Amino acid sequence: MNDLKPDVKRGRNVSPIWIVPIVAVLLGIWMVGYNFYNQGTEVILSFSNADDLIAGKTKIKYLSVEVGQVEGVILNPEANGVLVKISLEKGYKTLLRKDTRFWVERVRIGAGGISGLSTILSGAYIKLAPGEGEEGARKYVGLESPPVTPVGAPGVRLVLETDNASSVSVGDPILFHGYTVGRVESMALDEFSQSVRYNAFVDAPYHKNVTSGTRFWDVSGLTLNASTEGFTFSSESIETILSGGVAFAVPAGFESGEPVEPDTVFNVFDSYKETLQKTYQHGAYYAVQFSQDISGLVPGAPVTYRGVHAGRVVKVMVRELVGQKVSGIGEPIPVLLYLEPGLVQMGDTPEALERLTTAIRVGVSRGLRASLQTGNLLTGSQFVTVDYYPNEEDKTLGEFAGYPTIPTVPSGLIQMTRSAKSFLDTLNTLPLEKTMNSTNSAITSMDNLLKSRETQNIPDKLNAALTSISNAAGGLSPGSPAYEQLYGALVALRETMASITPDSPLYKELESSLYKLNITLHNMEQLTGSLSETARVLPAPDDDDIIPEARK
Amino acid sequence: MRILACSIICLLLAACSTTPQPESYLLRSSVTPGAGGQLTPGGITLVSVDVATYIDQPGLVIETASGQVRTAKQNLWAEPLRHSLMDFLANELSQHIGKTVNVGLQSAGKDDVRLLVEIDQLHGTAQGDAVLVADWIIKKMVDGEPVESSYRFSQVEPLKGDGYDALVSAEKELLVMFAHAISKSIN
Repeated sequence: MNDLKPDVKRGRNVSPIWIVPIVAVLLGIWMVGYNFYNQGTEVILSFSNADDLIAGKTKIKYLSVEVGQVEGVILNPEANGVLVKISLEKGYKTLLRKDTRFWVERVRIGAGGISGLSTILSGAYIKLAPGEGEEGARKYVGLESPPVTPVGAPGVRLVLETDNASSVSVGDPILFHGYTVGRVESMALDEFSQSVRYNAFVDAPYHKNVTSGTRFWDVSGLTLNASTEGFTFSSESIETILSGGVAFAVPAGFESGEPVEPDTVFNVFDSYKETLQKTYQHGAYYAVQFSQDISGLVPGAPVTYRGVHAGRVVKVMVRELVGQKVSGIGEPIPVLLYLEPGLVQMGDTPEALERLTTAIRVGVSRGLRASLQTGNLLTGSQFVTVDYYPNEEDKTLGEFAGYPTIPTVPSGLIQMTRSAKSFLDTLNTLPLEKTMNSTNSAITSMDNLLKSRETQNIPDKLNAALTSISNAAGGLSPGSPAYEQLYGALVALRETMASITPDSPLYKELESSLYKLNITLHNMEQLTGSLSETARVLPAPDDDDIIPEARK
Repeated sequence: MRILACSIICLLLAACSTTPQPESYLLRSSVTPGAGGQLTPGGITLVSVDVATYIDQPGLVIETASGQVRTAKQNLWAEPLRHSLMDFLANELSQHIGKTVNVGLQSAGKDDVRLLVEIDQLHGTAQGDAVLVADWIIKKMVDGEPVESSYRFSQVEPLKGDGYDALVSAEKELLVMFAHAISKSIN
């Protein structure tokens, strides 16, 4: 029975089934560790909208290499933009610097061309441009458009200021002598100055050409300007015609100055011509009053002294005229002028201004007057000219609205009428009757002269003279002595020439000589023949002439 | 040895022998200028005498067969034929016409009758004859208009004996007849 006692053996304590969870745990630990070790860097980008951005799908690229992915897109707390959470792969953490820039690359169609066509198939992606600042930034404001200038590009960044932003836009070229040396990076309206400010970047080495004397002007599109100087048409390259641009240079006659610091502010002129206009510090305001049509006279119109540019029209003082409480009608319209001594090369100093005002004060008393002139018949633009009119009565400077006034003289039709009247007056004073009487007398004298016998004999005398000439010419007719002499000379000439004709003795002598030479040569032939015969061992009998024989 | 000696002697004798001296013949008219009496100024000019190339050389020519000629080497004209012929014909013409015949273009008067002669053949033949074939042209002014006439002379004269003397004589006879024909054409 004892044999039937079961042999109970104690089994092993750990079942092999536990291997499975243990491996799973280890695998999980490894995965967690691996994930932690290879975890990318999370970055928050803020954009105005999330167009084309899809969480878990949109890639982050740098130089067309995938460096990360969009992890999530949410609205910002203010709900006026989006926050895009992206994860950059571990190895690319160094791309995240303080001035690194992000923007969405998508199809863009603009004046500068079409970009981002590759995203039509691949879908939009976020592009980054690493900066050069410190590492460690994790929040960025994404750009709405691709940056125009790479970070760290050599050159100088400037601020251009203008009142009108209609023609220049971001990306437009900056031109130097027509060559693109930079571009407009961004633009913004300065609320304080109410002007548009552009950030422009000029590439190296051309940034050295930007100095304190440099002036920028707008070269966008086509410029057609109608002024007192006529029509002026100007344009730059096709690119600027289509998309606009800003050119810069140091205008002729200006000092180039020193190189500028970054972010220096420059004013953008409307045209190159405007850059040439020097601005002076000293000037004086004068008012002139015209009793005629002043249409075409606009602010900025030139004021000239005998054609020399001396100032400009500031404004038409209609408001001041109304404010004067004038009575009656037909009051002249006042126009405010600004005269600068520097423009007439008197110098830009207070002393020069004093001299100018003195000259005008004295001049007015001696006939200096202002008048309105038509600068361009097509455009109808007018300008003010100042000149001396000696016939004008003496006057002194007046005053209007606090400004001294220069007396005026009428121009245009009124002036023409005066001139015509003056001309007619002059014509009237001409001694026409006396002149006609003298002319009549002269005609009578001429008639008498023609009727005189001597005059009528002229044809006969002329005929006789011609007959004499004819007779003189007849002296050369055959039989006349002159003819015989001429004929004799020709005969002598012929005889002279005959001395070298085939019938002449000279020719015969020459021919005789040749004949003798011929005989000599004949004898020589005989001699050579004889010598040839003699050279033989036995001489052959001579070849005698055939003897002519008479008929038998 | 004897044959050699004879040959040397013959050679020496041949070397010492002289070539015959060529005979020269002068073509001169038998008419002496002025011999026929006083000649009046004729108004006739013999402008030129051209001779065929084969006789324009010193040797006298014998026609051995038809188209074959042989120029004598020992019997020569003493002067160029074109000159002697011109003088010969001028003399003969003066004799026949009774007027002075000028020679050469330079002596031609304005209204002179102008005579141009071309000798085509002048030689002896194997048959014992002398042959002369010639053309001449007469130019003269008739009523103020230039008139030109052409003539031809072709004659054979038998030699009166053997030898070149007889040939020269026969050719002279032919030239006299030719001058006579010319004079008749002028008159």
